[in-house]
Amino acid sequence: MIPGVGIGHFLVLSAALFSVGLYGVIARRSAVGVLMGLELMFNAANLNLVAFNAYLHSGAMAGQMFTLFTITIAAAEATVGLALVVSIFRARRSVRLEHVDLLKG
Amino acid sequence: MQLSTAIFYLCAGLSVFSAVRVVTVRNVFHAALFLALTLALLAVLYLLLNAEFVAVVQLLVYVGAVIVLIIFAVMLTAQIGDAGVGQTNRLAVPAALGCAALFLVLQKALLSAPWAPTEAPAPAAGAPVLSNLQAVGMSLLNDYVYPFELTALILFTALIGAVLIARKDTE
Amino acid sequence: MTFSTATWIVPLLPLGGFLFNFLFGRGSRRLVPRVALLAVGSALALSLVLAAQVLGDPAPKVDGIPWLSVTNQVFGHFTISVGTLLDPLSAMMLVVVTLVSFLVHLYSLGYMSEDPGLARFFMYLGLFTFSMLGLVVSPNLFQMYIFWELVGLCSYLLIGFYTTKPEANQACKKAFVVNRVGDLGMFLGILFLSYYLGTSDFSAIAAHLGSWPLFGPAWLPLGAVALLLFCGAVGKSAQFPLHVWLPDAMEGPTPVSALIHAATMVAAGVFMVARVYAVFDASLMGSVNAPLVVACVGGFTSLFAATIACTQFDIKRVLAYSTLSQLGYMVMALGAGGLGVTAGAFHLFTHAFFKALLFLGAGSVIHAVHSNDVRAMGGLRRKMPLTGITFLVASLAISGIWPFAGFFSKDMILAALKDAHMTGLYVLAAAVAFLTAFYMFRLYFLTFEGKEPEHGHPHESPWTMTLPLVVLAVLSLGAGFAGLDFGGRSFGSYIRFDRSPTLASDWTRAQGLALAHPKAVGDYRLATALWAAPALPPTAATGLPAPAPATIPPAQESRAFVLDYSVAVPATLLGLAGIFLAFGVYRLKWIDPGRVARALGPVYTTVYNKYYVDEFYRWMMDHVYYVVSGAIAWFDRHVVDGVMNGLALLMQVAGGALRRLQTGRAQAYALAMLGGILILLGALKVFVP
Repeated sequence: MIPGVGIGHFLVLSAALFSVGLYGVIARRSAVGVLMGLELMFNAANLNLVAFNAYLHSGAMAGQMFTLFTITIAAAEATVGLALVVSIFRARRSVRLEHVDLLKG
Repeated sequence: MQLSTAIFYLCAGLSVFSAVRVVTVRNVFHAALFLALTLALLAVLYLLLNAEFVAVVQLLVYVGAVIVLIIFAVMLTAQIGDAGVGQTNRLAVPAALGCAALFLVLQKALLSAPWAPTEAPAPAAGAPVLSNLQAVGMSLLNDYVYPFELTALILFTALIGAVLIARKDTE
Repeated sequence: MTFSTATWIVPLLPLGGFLFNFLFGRGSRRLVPRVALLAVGSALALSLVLAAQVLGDPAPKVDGIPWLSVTNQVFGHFTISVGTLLDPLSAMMLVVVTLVSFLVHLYSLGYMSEDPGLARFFMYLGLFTFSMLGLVVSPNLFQMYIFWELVGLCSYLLIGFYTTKPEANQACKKAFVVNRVGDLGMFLGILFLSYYLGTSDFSAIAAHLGSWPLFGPAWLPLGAVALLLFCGAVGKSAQFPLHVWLPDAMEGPTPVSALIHAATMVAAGVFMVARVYAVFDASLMGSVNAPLVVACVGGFTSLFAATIACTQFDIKRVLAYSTLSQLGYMVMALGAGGLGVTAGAFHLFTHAFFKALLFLGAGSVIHAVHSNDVRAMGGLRRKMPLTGITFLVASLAISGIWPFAGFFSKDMILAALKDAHMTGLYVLAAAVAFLTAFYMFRLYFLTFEGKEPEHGHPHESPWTMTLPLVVLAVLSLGAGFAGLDFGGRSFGSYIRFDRSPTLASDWTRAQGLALAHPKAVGDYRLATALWAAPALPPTAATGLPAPAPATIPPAQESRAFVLDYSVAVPATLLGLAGIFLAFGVYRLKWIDPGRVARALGPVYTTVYNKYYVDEFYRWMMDHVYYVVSGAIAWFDRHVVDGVMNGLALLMQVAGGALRRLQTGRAQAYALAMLGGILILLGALKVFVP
C-alpha cells in the first residue's frame, strides 16, 4: 500500500494525536478548547479504525463504516457540546471551566 | 522514497504539529484553524488508506461543518479578546506528563503487538469489482442499514437538544 | 381447692379489689372502701384457713409456672418461675399481713372519713396488700425482689399521700431513694447467689450451698453474698445506717404507718433474712461471718433508736424510733442463729400486733386532738377510755411484761443471744428492754395521764376505729402464748431454721474435690460432673483439716418457749424499772425532765437531733457526693466529651482535606482518571508477566 509504512506507523500517529487531545481536554481553560481536544481524540480513534480496516481486513468495510458513524455522532456531540458552551456562557458570562464548579465539595 | 511514503510522513508530522498547536496556542480562534488543518491532513491519510468516501466525509463534516460550528461558538462566547490570559490551567504540567507517559506506553504496546492481517476472502468469481464509493454504499444500505437509520435519529435528537439548550429562556 | 391454688388466690384478692376500684370505682367514697374491705376480708379468711391447714401439714408446698428459662453453658438450665411457696413462715406472714391489713382498712373507714382522697387511699392500701402478700408467698428471690420493689412503690405512694404537704413529698422521695441504696446491694446479692448456685428457689438454695467453694468464686466468700442480701433488709427494715427514711415516713396517714411502717412492710427485711437464713448460716464456714455482722447491726440499731425515742415529743416519731429499735431486736435475734431465727420471727409476729395497736391508738389520739405533739396532750384516758386502755396494753406488751405478748418474744430473743454466747449483745438487749419500757411509758403518761390541756374537746373515736384497737389488744395479750409448748407443737416447731446435716460434710467434700481437681474450681460444668460422680475421694485423703465444728453453734433441738428465770427475771425487772422511772419522772414529777436535759447538755442535744445522722448525710452529699460527682462531671465534660469532640474535629479536618479533591472541575477528574489508568497499566506491567 504505502511502501515502508506499516500499521504500526498509523497506530503510533493515532496514539500521539490521542495523547495530545487528552492533554487539551485536561489542560485547556476554555470550554471550546476542551471540545477541540475531544475532536482530536475522536479523530485519533477514527484513524485507528480506518488503518485497521486497510491493513488487517482489507476485504471488509467494517472499519470504514464505524468511522462514518463516529464522524456522524461526533458531529452531533459537537452540536450539543457547543450549545452547552453557549448556554454556560449566557449564565456565567464566561466559558472558563474553572468558573464552572457547582459540584465542588 | 516513494511519493506516498513521503506524503505519509509529511502529513503525519504536520498533523501532530498542528494538533499540538491546537492545544497550546493562546488564541482560541487560531486553535480552531489549526484543528481544521489537522482534520484536513487526516483526510489525506484516509485517502492513502484507500478510504476515499471517509476522506470526503471527513472534509465535509469535520472541516466543513464542525469547524464552522466551533468558530461560531468562539465568536459567540466572545472570549477571543482575553487572549492575553494563558489558555492553560494549573493542571497543565501533570497533564502533559501524564499524556506523555500514556503515549509512551501506548506506542510501546502498539509496536510490540503482533498485528496479523486476516486473510481477505477471495472475491467471488465474476463478481464486479466495486469502487470504494460503491462498496460503502452497498454495505451502508445492506449490512448497516439499521445503524444508519439510528444515526439519523440521533442527529435529529441532537439537533433538537442543541436548540433547546442554546436558546434563550423565554420566561 | 388445693393448698397451692388457695395460695395463689390470697394475693390476687386484694389485687382484684384494687383493679375493680381502679377501673370501675370512679372514686366513689362508698363503693371503693367496701370493695377493698371485702377483698381483704376474704383474703384474711382464706389465710386463716391456709394457716390451719399448714398447722396440720407443715411441709413446704411449691407451685409455679416457668417465667424465664435460660439455658447456657454456665448454668445448664436456669429457670425463674412465678408462683407460690406455702410453708409455716409464709402462712404466719399471710395471717399477720391480712389481719393487720383488714383491721387497718376498717380503722381507715373512720380515720379517713373526712379526707377527700378516701378512694385513692383505699386503692393504694389494696395495692400494697397485694404486693406484700405476693412478697410473702414468693418461691424464689427474683419474684420476691419484684414484690419487694412493689411494696416500696406503695410505701412511696402512701407516705406521699398528702400531696399538698411539702414534708410528705420530701419524705416519700427520701424513703424511695434510701431504699434503693439497700435494694442495689440486695439485687447484686441475688444475682451472685443465683449465678453461682444455679437456682434462686428458696427450696433449693440450702441444698446447693455445700458446693459454694467449688462453684463459687474465690474472691467472693459466701458471707459477702449474704451481707449483700442483708443490705436489702437494712434498707427495708430501716436498720442503721439506712434507718433515716422511717421516722420521716410518719408524714403519711397514721393507718399507713401502722400497716406499712410498723407491722408488715418493714418486717419484710426480717422475713427475707429468715427465708434465706441458710446462706447466712453456711457463711459461718467461710471467711466472712455474716450472722455476726447482722447481729451487731441489729443490736446497734436497737440501742441507737431507743435512745432517740426517749427524747422525741412527736407521738408518731417516738413510735417510729420504737419500731426501729424493735426491728433491730429482730435482726439481732436472726444474727444469733439457731433459736434466734425462731425468736426473730416470733418477735415479728407479736410486734406486728402491738405496734399496729400503738400506731392506731396514736392515730385515734391525733384524730381527737389534731396534734402530734405529746406536750399538747394529757389526761386523755378519761376522755378516750378505750383508746387509753388498749394503748396501755400495747405499752405493757412492748415493755415485755408477763403475760403480754412482748414478754415471750423478747425473752426468746434474750435466750437465743445467751445460747449463742453473745454476751455483749445480750447486755445491750437488756439495756434496750429497759429503755423501751421507759420511753413507752413516758409516752403513755404524757399522753393519757396527768393534766388535761385547757383547750379542745377530745372525744372517743367511732367504733370502726376502736374495734380494731380492741382486737389488736386481745392479740397483744394472747399472741405470746403461741410460743409455748403444746404437746410438742409450738411456734418454734413450725418456724425454725435447722442447719442441713450434710452441710459440713459437703464442705469437706468440696474441699477435697477442689484439691484433687484444681481445674474444677470455678468451672461449673466440670465441677458438676465431679460432684455427681459416685466415687468420691475420702475426706481423710484430702489432707485438709475438716472444718472446725467448734465455730458452728450446735443445732438447737427444741424451739419452744421455755421460761428461763435467769433470763426472764432480770428482763422483767428491767422493764418494770423503766416503767417505774417513767412513772416517777412524768407522773409524780420527781424531777423536771427539762433540767435533766439541760444537765446532759450536748449529749441530750445530740440524741434529740437523732445523732445528726441526717445532717451527716446532708454534709456527705454537699462535701463528698457533690464534689465527687462534680469531678466526675468535669471528667465527663472535658475528657469524655473532649475525646468525642476531638474525634469529631479530626473527622472534620480529614473531611476538609479530602474535600479539596472534590474540586467540582471535570478536568481535574479527567486527570485523575488518566492517573488511574496509568497506575493500572503500571500494575499490569509489574504483576502480569
